[in-house]
Amino acid sequence: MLEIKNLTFAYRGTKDVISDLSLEFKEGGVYGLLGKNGTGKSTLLYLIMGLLKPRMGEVMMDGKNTFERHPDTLSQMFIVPEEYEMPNTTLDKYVEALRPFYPNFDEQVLNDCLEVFEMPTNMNLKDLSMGQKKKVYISLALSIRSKVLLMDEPTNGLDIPAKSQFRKALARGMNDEQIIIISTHQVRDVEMIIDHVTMINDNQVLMNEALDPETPVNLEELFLKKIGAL
Amino acid sequence: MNTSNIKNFAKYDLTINKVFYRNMIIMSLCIAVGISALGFMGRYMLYSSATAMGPVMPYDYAHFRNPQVTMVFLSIFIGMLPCIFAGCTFHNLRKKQGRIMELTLPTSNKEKYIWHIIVSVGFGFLLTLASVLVADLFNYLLHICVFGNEYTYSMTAKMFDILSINIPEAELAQQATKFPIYSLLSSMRLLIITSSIMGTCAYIYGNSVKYHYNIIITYGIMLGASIILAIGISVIFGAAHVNVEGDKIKGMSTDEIGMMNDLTILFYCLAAAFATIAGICVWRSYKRYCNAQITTATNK
Amino acid sequence: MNFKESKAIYLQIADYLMEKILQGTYKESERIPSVRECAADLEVNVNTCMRAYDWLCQQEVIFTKRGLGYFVSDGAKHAILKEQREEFMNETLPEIARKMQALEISPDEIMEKLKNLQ
Repeated sequence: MLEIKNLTFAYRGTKDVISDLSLEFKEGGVYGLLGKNGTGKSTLLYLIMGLLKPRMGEVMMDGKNTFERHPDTLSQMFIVPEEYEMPNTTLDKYVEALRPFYPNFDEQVLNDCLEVFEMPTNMNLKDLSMGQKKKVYISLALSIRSKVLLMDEPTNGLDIPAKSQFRKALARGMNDEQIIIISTHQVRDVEMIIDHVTMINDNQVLMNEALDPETPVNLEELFLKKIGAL
Repeated sequence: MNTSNIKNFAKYDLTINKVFYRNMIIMSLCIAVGISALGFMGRYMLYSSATAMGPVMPYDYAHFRNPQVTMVFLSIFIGMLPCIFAGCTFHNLRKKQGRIMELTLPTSNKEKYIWHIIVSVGFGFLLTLASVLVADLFNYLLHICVFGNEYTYSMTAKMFDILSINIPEAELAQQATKFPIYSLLSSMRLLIITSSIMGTCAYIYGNSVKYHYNIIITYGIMLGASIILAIGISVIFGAAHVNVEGDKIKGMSTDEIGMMNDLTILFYCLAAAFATIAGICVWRSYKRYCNAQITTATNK
Repeated sequence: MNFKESKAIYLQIADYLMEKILQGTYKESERIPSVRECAADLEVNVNTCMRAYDWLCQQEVIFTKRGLGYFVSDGAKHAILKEQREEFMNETLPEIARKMQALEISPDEIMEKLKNLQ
């Protein structure tokens, strides 16, 4: 279980981006972290991953503080950032270098996802376009099968067919012991694949609940209403 | 702490930074060989013009095969390259994405840090040495090509000999009966070694503050500190040996043995201080590495 | 697949699968795609898909063989048709009747129209 306890954080010289936030994430859930651009979604993901130091409060993954960066904890977590650079090497070699760190890695999942994305199974990572980089990185993330998988705006930069491929790859690659948190401002891209919604705006949690399977709801409308009403 | 974790991290680092390390190797070899080649060319031009002019200019082969200037430049190279390498210890963390990848990699901070030090310090030094040896070999081959089997000596051996002074052994032994020369020389050697270690560690610390191009800033800080240190030492040392009678300064003490002893003690103290500073630099840079975040005040 | 807001997603998925069975794409006693494959096809949450499969099992339209997957039950087509006929009779038709009354359309007019359509 992933617990966020009374988390407070601000970038240097600015006011609090996150203030006294407490949330819980359980295994088997696909959580949508929805919010407008710039509301601190990325910041929250970085805090979860131990990439930022909380001013107050803590993030605990199965009882261990994530900022302490214990290898055992880190081997169960993975983040797909919004933007990244690929190293100057081939996918094969990169996978060989990463494998020893992630015991749950499954090559079959990698190949399945690359197939869904219509990408070859090996290529030089530096030669990829922005969209292709995303596809490869997402495939890699899914194949690592970490317990916690964080995705920051995964559909940004993907065209409509690729967004569809993303949803397919996620369904193919995820497993029910994972905690998947997807942050996005494009609700429509993910509303069918998430089963929990956490909406944040201006440092407040507007909504944090599981979607009721019996009562379908237009998430995009709900989202716009919630952030418009304030 | 696990050696296999360090090995895994090593493999990871070498995989993603293959091009960086390759470029460093090529660059240092080229510079070293370049210095050697230019030195040879310069000497050869002097030699051939001197030979043409006959006995007017006494620049014979004995002069020619003594590559003083080349060695000076190579010494600078030996001084600089390990510092540049040390200043790139945390080059993985230069960019935001690099920070994400490295800081989330499942290895302990200690293990990652140790590998970085092994590369920047160990590999840095080895590369410097290898480059100088290659430059040396290049010089030797040029000599053989141009002059056949004429003897020329190894620059590397000469340069590392700086740790011993260019005084013939017999004379040294004779002086040592009158003055505490040997202890002075040991303290000087220790001082030189610890000051270069400290220099390297200062660059490591500087890099841990700002991951990007911190080499110049660190150099500036160290230069400033050295100047202050030099002035301070001269003042202290001078003051210790000024004879004061009543109100007047009667001149410098001529007690050479006393001065040498004081100097020896001073050098040992400085060496100890440098070693301590080096240790503090390493410890502080480790702490900074443990607290590294995706963005910091100095690294956005 | 475009999902409507009027009905639970998992029920719409079930409808979709039942449609495939009626059309003969999934034949009786044959294996249907796994929950994961279906979720990937329709780009939905795997758990939602699981719910749909569970519901269809309850309705005895499909059954599961341990380790082998899900299969179309014998007589599923018949059962689906029966259920859909019931839904038409009990829900769709009364709705039409209400509309007919509101718009003052007589049953004869309907019969005439139907004859032309069929």
